[in-house]
Amino acid sequence: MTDKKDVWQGTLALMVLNTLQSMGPLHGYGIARRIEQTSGDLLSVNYGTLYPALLKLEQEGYISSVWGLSDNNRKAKYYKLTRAGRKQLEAEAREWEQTTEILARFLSPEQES
Amino acid sequence: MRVLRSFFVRFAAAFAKQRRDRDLSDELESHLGMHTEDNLRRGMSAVEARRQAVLTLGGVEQTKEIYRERRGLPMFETLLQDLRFGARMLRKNPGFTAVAILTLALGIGADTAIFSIVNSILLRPLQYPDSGRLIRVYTYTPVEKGLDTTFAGFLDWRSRNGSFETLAAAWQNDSNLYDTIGPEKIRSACATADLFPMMGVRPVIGRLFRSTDDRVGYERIVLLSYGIWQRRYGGNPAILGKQIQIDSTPYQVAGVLPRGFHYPGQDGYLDAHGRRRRIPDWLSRQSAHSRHGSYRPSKT
Repeated sequence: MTDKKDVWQGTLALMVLNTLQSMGPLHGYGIARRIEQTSGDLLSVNYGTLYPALLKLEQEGYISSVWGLSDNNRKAKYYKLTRAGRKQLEAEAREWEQTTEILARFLSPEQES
Repeated sequence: MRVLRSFFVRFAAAFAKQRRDRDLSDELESHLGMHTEDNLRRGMSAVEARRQAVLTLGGVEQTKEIYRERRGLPMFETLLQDLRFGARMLRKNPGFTAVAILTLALGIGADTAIFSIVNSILLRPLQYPDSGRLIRVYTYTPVEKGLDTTFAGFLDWRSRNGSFETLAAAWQNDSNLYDTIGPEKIRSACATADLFPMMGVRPVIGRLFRSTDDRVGYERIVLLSYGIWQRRYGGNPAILGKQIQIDSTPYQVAGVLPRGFHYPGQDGYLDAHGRRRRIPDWLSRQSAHSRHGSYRPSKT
């Protein structure tokens, strides 16, 4: 069995926002599975921590939730990105790109011009 | 203001908890259902599929616990619980409650009363410049202590004064004021001319007494308190120079004393009225008990 990485602190919110952006409204289980798939099964989402994270995003107004029916006719709570959430996603994504870029420069100094 | 927003949302979540709990249970149940179905499709047994789903979730109750902590404000909720518990205990022990409330009421009441007194007497100094040097002089006899002196006695003191920078006299009584508006009973005080400079008082309008006012032959003049000037004369400066009757004697209004000036010893609710009579009046009243106060000692 491969050693899956836990989700880093603070990145789960970004992943959730991104997932909702690309997939549209989705329930908690769907979000969790989608994150695992997107990571190429390298990440294991602790499903239990997903719900407090969703709650926090909702409290902050980045996502909203509504009860609906799943494909299998099961009652499920669907989350959806709000306008504020879209903005937040852009801002956070930019920040992460910057961070990784800076780190990349440190890790491969020979590329410096 | 995302922080503020979530604070209010979480504050609101401290109420209607049962509905929110049911909501969470439903959501987790739906999650487990979907996960179990997926596991079944992968060929697990029914029991194993469910077990794996719960395991991956990290336990239903554990998840609910961390969820609840984020949902509301745990500290605030604990506080609410404590309050509720306290109220229940108080209701259960009415005797104890009554004693406790009574003790608190008496304590607070006594504190307030004492503080009011201490504040006005000890903590808040008199509003006169250099008020620490103001003193009041009395007569001491073998028989009785703390007597006011007569006006003749005061004149005597003043002429032989070697200990005080200034010696002034004042003397309070009730008088009848009469003018075009009608009669009114007022609290008045007679004062020698140097009383007001000694207390650092400046008139709002008009002037104070001059030392010549103490002498015979000058017109009788009166100073109004700020309160009566506002209330009775509407703060109209035209009152200056007008004649008003006090105890059937005409006086000319010479000035108005500043707001908040109360002659000490007046009962506090007053229309403090700096009123002045000429010396002959004072002398003629020697036999009455007249009071002379507020002396300022010299720096030696």
